Amino acid sequence: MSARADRRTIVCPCHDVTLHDLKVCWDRGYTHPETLKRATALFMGPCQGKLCAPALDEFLESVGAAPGPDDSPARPTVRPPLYSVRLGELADPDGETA
Amino acid sequence: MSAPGVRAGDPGASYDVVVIGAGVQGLSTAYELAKRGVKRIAVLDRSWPGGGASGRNGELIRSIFSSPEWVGLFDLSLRRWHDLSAELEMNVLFSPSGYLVLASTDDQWANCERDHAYHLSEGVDSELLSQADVLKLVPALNRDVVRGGVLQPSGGFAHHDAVNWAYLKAGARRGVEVYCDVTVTGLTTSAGRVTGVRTSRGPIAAGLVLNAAGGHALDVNAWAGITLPMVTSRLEMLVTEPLAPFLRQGLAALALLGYCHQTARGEFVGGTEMHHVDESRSQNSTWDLLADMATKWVTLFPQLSGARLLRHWAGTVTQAADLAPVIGSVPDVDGYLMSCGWVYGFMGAPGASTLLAEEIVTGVPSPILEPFSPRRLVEGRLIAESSLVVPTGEEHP
Repeated sequence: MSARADRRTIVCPCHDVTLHDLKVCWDRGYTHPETLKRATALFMGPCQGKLCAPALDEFLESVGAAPGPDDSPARPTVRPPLYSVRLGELADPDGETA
Repeated sequence: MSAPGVRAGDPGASYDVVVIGAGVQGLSTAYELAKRGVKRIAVLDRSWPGGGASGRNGELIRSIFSSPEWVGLFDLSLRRWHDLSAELEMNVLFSPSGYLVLASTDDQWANCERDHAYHLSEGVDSELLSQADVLKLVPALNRDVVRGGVLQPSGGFAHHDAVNWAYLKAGARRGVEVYCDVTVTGLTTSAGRVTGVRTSRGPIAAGLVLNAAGGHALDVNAWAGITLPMVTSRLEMLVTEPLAPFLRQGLAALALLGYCHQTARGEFVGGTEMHHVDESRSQNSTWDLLADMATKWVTLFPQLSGARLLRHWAGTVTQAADLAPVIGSVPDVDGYLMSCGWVYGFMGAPGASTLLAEEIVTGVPSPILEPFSPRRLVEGRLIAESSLVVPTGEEHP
Protein backbone atom coordinates (compact mmCIF):
# COMPACT_ATOMS: atom_id res chain seq x y z
CA MET A 1 0.00 0.00 0.00
CA SER A 2 1.12 3.54 -0.62
CA ALA A 3 2.08 5.81 2.25
CA ARG A 4 -0.95 7.89 1.41
CA ALA A 5 -3.23 4.88 1.77
CA ASP A 6 -1.42 3.87 4.99
CA ARG A 7 -2.19 7.28 6.44
CA ARG A 8 -5.88 6.76 5.73
CA THR A 9 -6.01 3.23 7.11
CA ILE A 10 -7.17 3.32 10.71
CA VAL A 11 -6.01 0.37 12.81
CA CYS A 12 -7.12 1.80 16.16
CA PRO A 13 -10.37 3.78 16.04
CA CYS A 14 -10.08 4.57 19.78
CA HIS A 15 -6.91 6.60 19.34
CA ASP A 16 -6.88 7.29 15.59
CA VAL A 17 -3.76 5.20 15.06
CA THR A 18 -3.12 4.56 11.37
CA LEU A 19 -1.20 1.84 9.60
CA HIS A 20 1.35 4.53 8.79
CA ASP A 21 1.84 5.24 12.53
CA LEU A 22 2.33 1.55 13.14
CA LYS A 23 4.91 1.22 10.38
CA VAL A 24 6.80 4.33 11.49
CA CYS A 25 7.02 3.10 15.08
CA TRP A 26 8.12 -0.35 13.94
CA ASP A 27 10.80 1.14 11.69
CA ARG A 28 12.05 3.34 14.53
CA GLY A 29 12.66 0.23 16.60
CA TYR A 30 9.53 -0.39 18.66
CA THR A 31 9.55 -4.02 17.59
CA HIS A 32 8.21 -5.76 20.70
CA PRO A 33 4.42 -6.04 21.13
CA GLU A 34 4.73 -4.29 24.51
CA THR A 35 6.82 -1.37 23.24
CA LEU A 36 4.76 -1.07 20.06
CA LYS A 37 1.62 -0.85 22.21
CA ARG A 38 3.10 1.96 24.30
CA ALA A 39 4.52 3.85 21.32
CA THR A 40 1.24 3.81 19.38
CA ALA A 41 -1.43 3.55 22.17
CA LEU A 42 -2.80 0.42 20.49
CA PHE A 43 -4.70 -1.78 22.98
CA MET A 44 -5.08 1.22 25.31
CA GLY A 45 -8.45 2.54 24.20
CA PRO A 46 -12.00 1.94 25.40
CA CYS A 47 -12.44 -1.11 23.11
CA GLN A 48 -9.77 -2.95 25.17
CA GLY A 49 -7.91 -3.95 22.01
CA LYS A 50 -10.79 -5.77 20.39
CA LEU A 51 -10.68 -3.62 17.27
CA CYS A 52 -6.91 -3.27 16.80
CA ALA A 53 -5.80 -6.81 17.67
CA PRO A 54 -6.59 -8.38 14.28
CA ALA A 55 -4.91 -5.47 12.49
CA LEU A 56 -1.81 -5.85 14.68
CA ASP A 57 -1.72 -9.60 14.02
CA GLU A 58 -1.81 -8.98 10.30
CA PHE A 59 0.84 -6.27 10.50
CA LEU A 60 3.23 -8.37 12.58
CA GLU A 61 2.83 -11.27 10.19
CA SER A 62 3.52 -8.96 7.23
CA VAL A 63 6.83 -7.80 8.73
CA GLY A 64 7.83 -11.33 9.71
CA ALA A 65 7.73 -10.77 13.48
CA ALA A 66 8.27 -13.80 15.70
CA PRO A 67 4.99 -15.34 16.86
CA GLY A 68 3.97 -15.56 20.52
CA PRO A 69 3.95 -18.72 22.66
CA ASP A 70 2.49 -21.82 20.94
CA ASP A 71 2.47 -19.98 17.60
CA SER A 72 -0.28 -17.66 18.84
CA PRO A 73 -0.12 -14.10 17.52
CA ALA A 74 2.41 -11.95 19.42
CA ARG A 75 0.35 -9.53 21.49
CA PRO A 76 0.77 -7.38 24.58
CA THR A 77 -0.32 -8.93 27.88
CA VAL A 78 -4.08 -8.82 28.35
CA ARG A 79 -5.09 -6.49 31.14
CA PRO A 80 -8.40 -6.73 32.94
CA PRO A 81 -11.23 -5.96 32.66
CA LEU A 82 -12.22 -7.63 29.40
CA TYR A 83 -15.08 -5.16 29.07
CA SER A 84 -14.89 -1.69 30.54
CA VAL A 85 -16.94 -1.24 33.71
CA ARG A 86 -17.94 1.83 35.72
CA LEU A 87 -15.94 2.46 38.88
CA GLY A 88 -19.18 3.05 40.77
CA GLU A 89 -20.18 -0.54 40.14
CA LEU A 90 -16.94 -1.78 41.65
CA ALA A 91 -16.89 0.58 44.62
CA ASP A 92 -17.92 -0.74 48.00
CA PRO A 93 -18.19 2.34 50.23
CA ASP A 94 -19.61 0.43 53.21
CA GLY A 95 -17.31 -2.55 52.89
CA GLU A 96 -14.16 -3.30 54.77
CA THR A 97 -11.99 -1.82 52.01
CA ALA A 98 -13.25 1.70 52.73
CA MET B 1 15.84 -4.69 19.28
CA SER B 2 12.67 -3.93 21.16
CA ALA B 3 12.95 -0.17 21.47
CA PRO B 4 15.08 2.47 19.72
CA GLY B 5 18.63 2.29 21.02
CA VAL B 6 18.55 -1.38 22.01
CA ARG B 7 21.34 -3.32 20.32
CA ALA B 8 20.92 -6.45 18.25
CA GLY B 9 23.43 -9.28 18.65
CA ASP B 10 25.32 -10.47 21.68
CA PRO B 11 27.02 -8.37 24.36
CA GLY B 12 30.81 -8.23 24.44
CA ALA B 13 33.03 -10.23 26.79
CA SER B 14 34.04 -7.37 29.05
CA TYR B 15 32.88 -3.91 30.15
CA ASP B 16 33.92 -1.29 32.67
CA VAL B 17 30.37 -1.17 34.03
CA VAL B 18 27.61 -3.77 33.66
CA VAL B 19 24.16 -2.61 34.73
CA ILE B 20 21.57 -5.29 35.52
CA GLY B 21 18.14 -4.04 34.54
CA ALA B 22 17.02 -1.67 31.75
CA GLY B 23 14.58 0.17 33.94
CA VAL B 24 14.69 3.86 34.71
CA GLN B 25 17.43 3.48 37.36
CA GLY B 26 19.71 1.39 35.16
CA LEU B 27 19.17 3.42 32.00
CA SER B 28 19.54 6.79 33.72
CA THR B 29 22.68 5.77 35.61
CA ALA B 30 24.22 4.36 32.42
CA TYR B 31 23.44 7.63 30.64
CA GLU B 32 24.91 9.75 33.44
CA LEU B 33 28.07 7.60 33.45
CA ALA B 34 28.48 7.94 29.68
CA LYS B 35 27.94 11.69 29.99
CA ARG B 36 30.89 11.75 32.40
CA GLY B 37 33.16 9.93 29.97
CA VAL B 38 32.82 6.28 31.00
CA LYS B 39 33.25 4.42 27.72
CA ARG B 40 32.41 0.75 28.08
CA ILE B 41 28.96 0.36 29.64
CA ALA B 42 26.47 -2.44 29.07
CA VAL B 43 22.88 -2.53 30.33
CA LEU B 44 21.35 -6.01 30.37
CA ASP B 45 17.67 -6.86 30.64
CA ARG B 46 15.83 -10.15 30.60
CA SER B 47 12.85 -8.62 28.83
CA TRP B 48 12.04 -5.26 27.22
CA PRO B 49 13.21 -1.86 28.51
CA GLY B 50 10.95 -0.38 31.17
CA GLY B 51 8.98 -3.62 31.42
CA GLY B 52 9.02 -3.76 35.20
CA ALA B 53 8.02 -1.06 37.66
CA SER B 54 9.56 1.67 35.47
CA GLY B 55 6.65 1.34 33.05
CA ARG B 56 4.00 0.52 35.65
CA ASN B 57 4.34 3.32 38.21
CA GLY B 58 2.17 6.32 39.03
CA GLU B 59 4.47 8.80 37.17
CA LEU B 60 4.26 11.37 39.96
CA ILE B 61 7.00 13.85 40.83
CA ARG B 62 7.48 15.88 44.02
CA SER B 63 10.07 16.85 46.59
CA ILE B 64 7.70 17.95 49.38
CA PHE B 65 8.56 15.17 51.80
CA SER B 66 8.96 15.50 55.55
CA SER B 67 12.54 14.34 56.17
CA PRO B 68 15.84 16.04 55.31
CA GLU B 69 17.03 12.86 53.60
CA TRP B 70 14.10 12.57 51.21
CA VAL B 71 13.87 16.31 50.57
CA GLY B 72 17.59 16.47 49.78
CA LEU B 73 17.50 13.72 47.16
CA PHE B 74 14.12 14.43 45.62
CA ASP B 75 14.56 18.20 45.42
CA LEU B 76 17.68 17.67 43.34
CA SER B 77 15.67 15.26 41.22
CA LEU B 78 12.84 17.75 40.80
CA ARG B 79 15.31 20.31 39.47
CA ARG B 80 16.65 17.70 37.02
CA TRP B 81 13.08 16.98 35.84
CA HIS B 82 12.64 20.57 34.74
CA ASP B 83 15.54 20.30 32.24
CA LEU B 84 15.27 16.65 31.34
CA SER B 85 13.46 16.86 27.99
CA ALA B 86 15.91 19.44 26.68
CA GLU B 87 18.93 17.53 27.92
CA LEU B 88 17.82 14.14 26.61
CA GLU B 89 16.54 15.67 23.36
CA MET B 90 13.19 13.95 23.67
CA ASN B 91 9.95 15.22 25.13
CA VAL B 92 9.31 13.18 28.28
CA LEU B 93 5.93 14.94 28.71
CA PHE B 94 6.85 16.42 32.07
CA SER B 95 3.86 18.43 33.33
CA PRO B 96 4.90 20.79 36.12
CA SER B 97 1.25 21.36 36.92
CA GLY B 98 1.63 20.94 40.66
CA TYR B 99 1.62 18.18 43.25
CA LEU B 100 -0.84 18.21 46.12
CA VAL B 101 -0.44 16.20 49.32
CA LEU B 102 -3.96 16.01 50.68
CA ALA B 103 -4.73 15.88 54.41
CA SER B 104 -8.11 14.52 55.48
CA THR B 105 -7.71 14.53 59.26
CA ASP B 106 -6.53 17.04 61.85
CA ASP B 107 -3.45 14.93 62.51
CA GLN B 108 -2.54 14.88 58.83
CA TRP B 109 -3.17 18.61 58.62
CA ALA B 110 -0.82 19.19 61.55
CA ASN B 111 1.82 17.16 59.70
CA CYS B 112 1.26 19.27 56.60
CA GLU B 113 1.78 22.47 58.59
CA ARG B 114 4.98 21.11 60.09
CA ASP B 115 6.26 19.81 56.73
CA HIS B 116 5.46 23.10 55.01
CA ALA B 117 7.43 25.05 57.63
CA TYR B 118 10.34 22.71 57.02
CA HIS B 119 10.07 23.19 53.25
CA LEU B 120 10.23 26.95 53.67
CA SER B 121 13.29 26.68 55.89
CA GLU B 122 15.04 24.63 53.18
CA GLY B 123 13.95 26.82 50.27
CA VAL B 124 11.77 24.04 48.85
CA ASP B 125 8.85 25.11 46.66
CA SER B 126 5.79 24.57 48.87
CA GLU B 127 2.46 26.20 49.68
CA LEU B 128 0.16 25.45 52.59
CA LEU B 129 -3.48 25.19 51.53
CA SER B 130 -6.52 25.45 53.78
CA GLN B 131 -9.60 23.36 53.13
CA ALA B 132 -11.10 26.24 51.12
CA ASP B 133 -7.86 26.65 49.13
CA VAL B 134 -7.80 22.97 48.22
CA LEU B 135 -11.44 22.95 47.16
CA LYS B 136 -10.89 26.05 45.06
CA LEU B 137 -7.89 24.40 43.38
CA VAL B 138 -9.59 21.03 42.82
CA PRO B 139 -13.37 21.58 42.98
CA ALA B 140 -14.04 17.95 42.00
CA LEU B 141 -12.78 16.73 45.40
CA ASN B 142 -15.27 15.42 47.94
CA ARG B 143 -15.12 18.12 50.65
CA ASP B 144 -15.70 15.52 53.38
CA VAL B 145 -12.20 14.13 52.84
CA VAL B 146 -10.48 17.52 52.52
CA ARG B 147 -8.93 19.09 55.61
CA GLY B 148 -6.15 20.94 53.78
CA GLY B 149 -2.92 20.19 52.05
CA VAL B 150 0.56 21.07 50.90
CA LEU B 151 1.00 22.04 47.27
CA GLN B 152 4.23 22.02 45.33
CA PRO B 153 3.48 24.17 42.27
CA SER B 154 6.62 22.99 40.43
CA GLY B 155 5.89 19.29 41.00
CA GLY B 156 3.70 17.20 38.74
CA PHE B 157 4.13 14.12 36.59
CA ALA B 158 5.77 12.85 33.39
CA HIS B 159 5.20 10.00 30.98
CA HIS B 160 7.10 6.95 32.20
CA ASP B 161 7.55 5.22 28.84
CA ALA B 162 8.89 8.41 27.29
CA VAL B 163 11.33 8.80 30.19
CA ASN B 164 12.67 5.25 29.82
CA TRP B 165 13.04 5.66 26.06
CA ALA B 166 14.65 9.07 26.35
CA TYR B 167 17.34 7.82 28.74
CA LEU B 168 17.81 4.72 26.58
CA LYS B 169 18.32 6.69 23.38
CA ALA B 170 20.44 9.40 24.98
CA GLY B 171 22.67 6.72 26.51
CA ALA B 172 22.90 4.81 23.23
CA ARG B 173 23.99 8.00 21.43
CA ARG B 174 26.86 8.23 23.91
CA GLY B 175 27.88 4.63 23.40
CA VAL B 176 25.94 2.82 26.12
CA GLU B 177 25.19 -0.72 24.89
CA VAL B 178 21.71 -1.88 25.91
CA TYR B 179 20.84 -5.55 25.35
CA CYS B 180 17.42 -7.03 25.94
CA ASP B 181 16.42 -10.69 26.15
CA VAL B 182 19.66 -11.32 28.03
CA THR B 183 18.97 -12.98 31.36
CA VAL B 184 21.56 -12.56 34.09
CA THR B 185 21.79 -15.88 35.91
CA GLY B 186 24.55 -15.20 38.43
CA LEU B 187 27.60 -13.19 39.37
CA THR B 188 31.25 -14.12 39.09
CA THR B 189 33.36 -13.33 42.12
CA SER B 190 36.99 -13.53 43.07
CA ALA B 191 38.42 -12.97 46.54
CA GLY B 192 35.33 -11.16 47.83
CA ARG B 193 35.08 -9.00 44.74
CA VAL B 194 32.34 -9.12 42.11
CA THR B 195 34.11 -9.51 38.76
CA GLY B 196 31.25 -9.90 36.32
CA VAL B 197 27.94 -11.54 35.48
CA ARG B 198 26.84 -14.90 34.13
CA THR B 199 24.17 -14.58 31.48
CA SER B 200 22.03 -16.62 29.13
CA ARG B 201 24.53 -15.58 26.43
CA GLY B 202 27.67 -16.38 28.36
CA PRO B 203 29.82 -14.71 31.03
CA ILE B 204 30.67 -11.01 30.92
CA ALA B 205 33.52 -9.50 32.90
CA ALA B 206 32.88 -6.16 34.58
CA GLY B 207 34.95 -3.65 36.50
CA LEU B 208 31.77 -2.73 38.32
CA VAL B 209 28.33 -4.37 38.48
CA LEU B 210 25.29 -2.21 39.28
CA ASN B 211 22.22 -3.99 40.60
CA ALA B 212 19.28 -2.03 39.20
CA ALA B 213 17.04 -5.07 38.90
CA GLY B 214 13.93 -3.60 40.56
CA GLY B 215 11.60 -6.38 41.68
CA HIS B 216 14.36 -8.93 41.00
CA ALA B 217 17.06 -7.11 42.95
CA LEU B 218 17.08 -9.56 45.84
CA ASP B 219 18.11 -12.43 43.52
CA VAL B 220 21.11 -10.43 42.40
CA ASN B 221 22.01 -9.54 45.98
CA ALA B 222 21.79 -13.21 46.93
CA TRP B 223 24.29 -14.12 44.20
CA ALA B 224 26.68 -11.65 45.80
CA GLY B 225 26.07 -13.26 49.20
CA ILE B 226 24.28 -10.13 50.41
CA THR B 227 21.32 -10.44 52.75
CA LEU B 228 19.63 -7.19 53.65
CA PRO B 229 16.24 -6.75 55.33
CA MET B 230 14.24 -6.07 52.17
CA VAL B 231 11.18 -7.69 50.60
CA THR B 232 9.66 -7.87 47.12
CA SER B 233 6.13 -6.55 47.00
CA ARG B 234 3.34 -5.85 44.55
CA LEU B 235 1.66 -2.48 43.89
CA GLU B 236 -1.41 -2.00 41.70
CA MET B 237 -2.92 0.80 39.62
CA LEU B 238 -5.83 1.49 37.32
CA VAL B 239 -6.69 3.81 34.45
CA THR B 240 -10.10 5.04 33.30
CA GLU B 241 -11.41 6.14 29.95
CA PRO B 242 -10.50 9.72 28.96
CA LEU B 243 -12.56 12.28 30.90
CA ALA B 244 -13.00 16.02 30.62
CA PRO B 245 -10.19 17.74 32.55
CA PHE B 246 -10.93 17.87 36.30
CA LEU B 247 -7.52 17.35 37.91
CA ARG B 248 -4.46 19.31 36.85
CA GLN B 249 -2.19 18.32 39.70
CA GLY B 250 -0.60 15.10 40.80
CA LEU B 251 -2.24 14.17 44.08
CA ALA B 252 -1.37 11.99 47.06
CA ALA B 253 -4.16 11.35 49.55
CA LEU B 254 -2.66 10.43 52.92
CA ALA B 255 -5.89 9.00 54.35
CA LEU B 256 -6.44 6.74 51.35
CA LEU B 257 -2.84 5.60 50.84
CA GLY B 258 -3.50 6.69 47.28
CA TYR B 259 -1.85 8.66 44.49
CA CYS B 260 -3.31 9.79 41.19
CA HIS B 261 -3.27 12.22 38.29
CA GLN B 262 -5.10 12.87 35.05
CA THR B 263 -3.12 12.40 31.84
CA ALA B 264 -2.95 14.85 28.96
CA ARG B 265 -5.28 12.46 27.12
CA GLY B 266 -7.79 12.76 29.96
CA GLU B 267 -7.42 9.34 31.55
CA PHE B 268 -7.55 9.23 35.35
CA VAL B 269 -4.65 7.11 36.60
CA GLY B 270 -4.35 6.10 40.21
CA GLY B 271 -3.08 3.51 42.63
CA THR B 272 -3.96 2.79 46.23
CA GLU B 273 -2.54 0.51 48.88
CA MET B 274 -4.08 -1.38 51.74
CA HIS B 275 -2.57 -1.36 55.19
CA HIS B 276 -0.21 -4.26 54.67
CA VAL B 277 2.73 -5.02 52.43
CA ASP B 278 1.64 -7.35 49.62
CA GLU B 279 4.70 -9.58 49.49
CA SER B 280 4.53 -11.09 46.04
CA ARG B 281 6.47 -11.31 42.80
CA SER B 282 3.34 -11.62 40.72
CA GLN B 283 2.50 -9.00 38.12
CA ASN B 284 -1.12 -10.13 38.11
CA SER B 285 -3.63 -7.66 39.49
CA THR B 286 -6.10 -8.65 42.21
CA TRP B 287 -9.79 -8.23 42.91
CA ASP B 288 -9.17 -6.94 46.45
CA LEU B 289 -7.09 -4.02 45.21
CA LEU B 290 -9.54 -3.27 42.41
CA ALA B 291 -12.34 -2.93 44.95
CA ASP B 292 -10.07 -0.86 47.21
CA MET B 293 -9.11 1.51 44.40
CA ALA B 294 -12.63 1.89 43.03
CA THR B 295 -14.00 2.60 46.51
CA LYS B 296 -11.34 5.13 47.41
CA TRP B 297 -11.32 6.99 44.09
CA VAL B 298 -15.09 7.25 43.99
CA THR B 299 -14.97 8.53 47.58
CA LEU B 300 -12.35 11.13 46.70
CA PHE B 301 -13.90 12.18 43.39
CA PRO B 302 -17.62 11.27 43.39
CA GLN B 303 -17.87 11.99 39.66
CA LEU B 304 -15.60 8.99 38.99
CA SER B 305 -18.52 6.73 39.88
CA GLY B 306 -19.63 6.99 36.26
CA ALA B 307 -16.16 6.68 34.73
CA ARG B 308 -15.33 3.46 32.97
CA LEU B 309 -12.33 1.46 34.11
CA LEU B 310 -10.17 0.54 31.14
CA ARG B 311 -7.20 -1.28 32.59
CA HIS B 312 -5.86 -2.50 35.92
CA TRP B 313 -2.31 -3.75 36.35
CA ALA B 314 0.38 -4.55 38.89
CA GLY B 315 4.11 -4.08 39.24
CA THR B 316 6.69 -5.25 41.73
CA VAL B 317 9.26 -3.40 43.77
CA THR B 318 11.91 -4.39 46.27
CA GLN B 319 11.54 -2.38 49.45
CA ALA B 320 13.23 -1.77 52.76
CA ALA B 321 11.12 -1.22 55.86
CA ASP B 322 11.45 2.58 55.52
CA LEU B 323 10.52 2.56 51.79
CA ALA B 324 13.62 4.62 51.07
CA PRO B 325 15.93 3.62 48.23
CA VAL B 326 19.06 1.62 48.92
CA ILE B 327 21.87 3.16 46.91
CA GLY B 328 25.62 2.65 46.86
CA SER B 329 28.22 0.08 47.82
CA VAL B 330 27.77 -2.75 50.26
CA PRO B 331 30.24 -3.22 53.14
CA ASP B 332 32.84 -5.92 52.32
CA VAL B 333 31.66 -6.45 48.72
CA ASP B 334 33.89 -4.74 46.16
CA GLY B 335 33.00 -4.16 42.52
CA TYR B 336 29.29 -4.04 43.29
CA LEU B 337 26.76 -1.24 43.71
CA MET B 338 23.06 -1.21 44.37
CA SER B 339 20.37 1.16 43.17
CA CYS B 340 17.49 -0.81 44.63
CA GLY B 341 14.71 -0.56 47.14
CA TRP B 342 12.97 2.02 45.01
CA VAL B 343 9.31 2.68 45.69
CA TYR B 344 9.39 6.35 44.65
CA GLY B 345 11.93 5.46 41.97
CA PHE B 346 10.41 7.15 38.95
CA MET B 347 10.53 10.60 40.52
CA GLY B 348 13.89 9.93 42.15
CA ALA B 349 15.77 8.54 39.17
CA PRO B 350 17.06 11.76 37.57
CA GLY B 351 18.57 12.95 40.85
CA ALA B 352 19.86 9.62 42.12
CA SER B 353 21.47 8.64 38.82
CA THR B 354 23.24 11.98 38.60
CA LEU B 355 24.71 11.62 42.09
CA LEU B 356 25.54 7.93 41.76
CA ALA B 357 27.36 8.42 38.46
CA GLU B 358 29.26 11.35 39.95
CA GLU B 359 30.24 9.21 42.93
CA ILE B 360 31.39 6.33 40.68
CA VAL B 361 33.48 8.59 38.46
CA THR B 362 35.05 10.77 41.17
CA GLY B 363 35.20 8.27 44.01
CA VAL B 364 33.90 11.00 46.30
CA PRO B 365 30.84 9.92 48.34
CA SER B 366 27.79 12.12 47.87
CA PRO B 367 26.47 13.58 51.13
CA ILE B 368 22.95 13.48 49.66
CA LEU B 369 23.16 9.77 48.82
CA GLU B 370 25.01 8.74 51.98
CA PRO B 371 21.87 8.42 54.17
CA PHE B 372 20.44 5.93 51.65
CA SER B 373 23.46 3.62 51.65
CA PRO B 374 22.99 -0.15 52.14
CA ARG B 375 25.02 0.30 55.31
CA ARG B 376 21.99 1.84 57.02
CA LEU B 377 20.15 -1.47 56.73
CA VAL B 378 23.13 -3.41 58.04
CA GLU B 379 23.25 -1.05 61.01
CA GLY B 380 19.47 -0.86 61.42
CA ARG B 381 19.23 2.90 60.81
CA LEU B 382 15.90 3.56 59.14
CA ILE B 383 14.91 6.92 57.67
CA ALA B 384 11.79 8.41 59.25
CA GLU B 385 9.61 9.85 56.47
CA SER B 386 5.98 10.52 57.32
CA SER B 387 4.45 11.78 54.06
CA LEU B 388 4.44 8.52 52.09
CA VAL B 389 1.32 6.89 50.69
CA VAL B 390 2.63 3.33 50.49
CA PRO B 391 2.37 1.02 53.51
CA THR B 392 5.58 0.35 55.41
CA GLY B 393 4.34 -2.78 57.11
CA GLU B 394 4.47 -0.81 60.36
CA GLU B 395 1.33 0.26 62.21
CA HIS B 396 -0.77 2.78 60.29
CA PRO B 397 -3.42 5.17 61.60
